[in-house]
Parts: sequence; structure tokens; C-alpha cells
Amino acid sequence: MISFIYSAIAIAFLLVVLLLSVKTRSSHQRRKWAADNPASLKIGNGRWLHLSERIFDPADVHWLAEELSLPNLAQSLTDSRKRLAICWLEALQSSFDEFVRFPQYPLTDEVAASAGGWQLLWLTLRFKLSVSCALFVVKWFGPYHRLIPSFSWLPSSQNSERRLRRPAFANSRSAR
Amino acid sequence: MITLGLITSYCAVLLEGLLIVRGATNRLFRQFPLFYSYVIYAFGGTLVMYFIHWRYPQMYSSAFWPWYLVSILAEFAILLEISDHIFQSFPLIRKLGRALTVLISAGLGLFYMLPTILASTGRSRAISSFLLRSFVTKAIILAVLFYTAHLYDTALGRNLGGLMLGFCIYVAVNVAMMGSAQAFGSALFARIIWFLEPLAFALCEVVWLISLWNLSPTLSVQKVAAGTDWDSQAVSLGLTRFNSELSKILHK
Repeated sequence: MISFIYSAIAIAFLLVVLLLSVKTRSSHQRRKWAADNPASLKIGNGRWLHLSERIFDPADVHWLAEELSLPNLAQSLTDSRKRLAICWLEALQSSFDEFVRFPQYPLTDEVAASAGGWQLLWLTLRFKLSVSCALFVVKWFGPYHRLIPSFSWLPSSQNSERRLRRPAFANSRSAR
Repeated sequence: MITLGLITSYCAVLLEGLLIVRGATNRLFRQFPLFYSYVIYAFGGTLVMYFIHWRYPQMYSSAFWPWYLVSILAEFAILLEISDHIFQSFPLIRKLGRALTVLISAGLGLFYMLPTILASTGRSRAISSFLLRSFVTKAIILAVLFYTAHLYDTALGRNLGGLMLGFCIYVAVNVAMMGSAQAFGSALFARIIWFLEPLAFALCEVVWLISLWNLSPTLSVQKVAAGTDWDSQAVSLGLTRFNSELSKILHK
């Protein structure tokens, strides 16, 4: 029996690998097409972030519910803001995935060393985790819930930025 | 059967030699140093084992198992090298493959492979269980790496894709063989598996030889990068800014 189980595992493993390698090849062809028709990256676009401030700001809902005493309208606004928040977070996630998939080639040793691979990986994973948690909370509890992660326990991202900037200045010609 | 087994084994050695010669001539040694070190180790070790089998047959068993166990452990180093190459052109997740490989190896090594050595009663039982579980661990690592590469649309290229595919064939055949050996005992090993093992290795060497015949560029990324002004620092600063802006929003 154990022999059959392991044989089945081996066959399933080979099938999965073949399937994934074929699919990866076809998706690479899609990406190659996208590379031939480049679209601008949306990272760092200020309008997106400004929109999010409106979506996640509960002031309008409070104003409707408390000052105008229109709880139904406030609830309706909350529902539509929830849908908007989910759309915004999903768009942010896909935009970020595009950003992550952005290739760079060829890599010199100097560039590879200065980039701080582990730190970048940590920031990337942290971002993915933050967005996933936020999506989960918004889907289940709405856009104004306190459970939306604050991640204040993580080291300050400003410090990370400063640390990342330093080698760039140190290596630049103007600094010498 | 014995003649067929010997011919297969000689073919595997011949393919190893050819792989080393091609690697030396087409500069692939520099790209995959650990992999070629492993091939050289396997090639040299097999020749030494032939010599021992011919001159000192009573010593063969005690010489073979340490050499084979070291080669099994060395295969984890190849996985590490493969994982380093997968995301090489993506600055943000360059270390992802290595992180996954190290985490899975450490986790499964500690909680899945190590208990077989500590808990098994007989030596041969312990070795066969350890081998089986090490191959299952490698299969899991390869499947995860393939899946992650698929998730991020990473083009593996001819060299790396072939290297992974050959390794997958080798690992899959060994999982099935070791599973059977555990189920049916060492009698099966003596009759069939001693012949199937070099056959599996020869098969994966054929895949390696075809894929590593020439040094091929990984992707058409040069084309993508040529039209942009992004460099590593810009990417890392973009990521940090993205994180900090998201944190600000989520703090509210």
C-alpha cells in the first residue's frame, strides 16, 4: 500500500511540475507581449493614495448618522465605501504584483550587493501581508473597523528608507 | 539483467563526463558552480566505486553508503543554487527562492527527516527511511519553487528549466523506488532498484545535457529593461515609499 502511495505521489509531482512549467511558459509569452507594449507603472501615483484617504475616512458616515440622523443613508454609504475599499485594495495588490514582477537585467555585482536583497524581500512580504490582512478585515468587518492592521510593531519604514538611501549616496560620484 | 544494468551505469558515467566537458567549454560552470561540483563529485565517486568493486569487493558496501549519503545531502545545495537563479532578475524577490528552500529544508529536516534517524531501530531501515524522506523533501521544495515561479510569471529559461525538470524526474523516480523498497524490503532493492537508480540518473542526465548544451539568456528581459530608467535603488525606494504610505493609511 505504501508503495502505491509513494508512486502516486511521484506521478502527481511530475504531472504538477510539467503542468506548471507549461503554464509558466505561456504566461511568460503573455508578459513578453506586455513588454513589447509597455504601459506605465502606477507605483507612487499620488491620486491613488488620495482616493484611499477619502474611502477610509469615516467622517462622512459619522456626519450622516449623527448630525443629520440618517442611519439608513449612512449604512448605504458604508456599504458602497466597503465595495470601493475592496476594489482599491485589490487594485493596489495587483499593481504591487506588477511592480514586484518588474524585471531588471543584467545585474552587476555592485547593484546586487547594494540593493539589500533580504531587506527588500522583508518589505515585499510585509506589504503583501498588510494588504491581505486589510482586505480580510474590510471584507468581513467593513472599511472603518479598528481591526485593520496598524503594524506599528514593525520597524519604522522611514528608517528603512533612510537605510536604503545611504548606500546610494555613498556610492554616488558626487559624494566623493 | 546484470549486463543491462552495467550498460546503463556506464551510459550514466559517460553522460556525466559529457556534461562536465560541455560545462567547461560553454562557460556554464560559472553560472551553476554547485551543480557542476556535484556532477564532478558523482562522476569521480562512481569511477572510484567501480575501482573498489573491481579490486576490493568486500569493501564496496562500506564505501558506497557514505559516498551516496553525501551526494544526497549535496543535492540540497543544488536546490539552493536553483532557487537563487529563479528570481535573479526581480530585485524585490531575489532572495525569495533561497528563503523558501532554507525554510522548507530546515522545517522538514527537523520534523520529518531527523526523526527517522533517531527513532528507527535497524541501520538499513534508518537509511532507507532517511533517503525516502529526503527525496520527498526535495520534491516538495521543487514543487513549491515551480509554483512560486508560476505565481510570479518567472521565465525559467532553457538552462534553469531543464535543470529543474531533470532534477524533478530524478527525484520522482527515487520517491517511487524508495517507497517500494520500504514496502517490499531489501530483496526488491537487490533485484530491481540497483538497476533503476542509474537508469533514472541517466534519464535526468539526458535532460540536463540537452538543456545545458549551450548557455542561453534567461529571458527577453533586456528588452524590458532597455526602455526604462529604473534601477535597483529606485525600485527599493519605490517599495519603501509604498510600504510607508500604506502604513499611514492603515494607522488611521
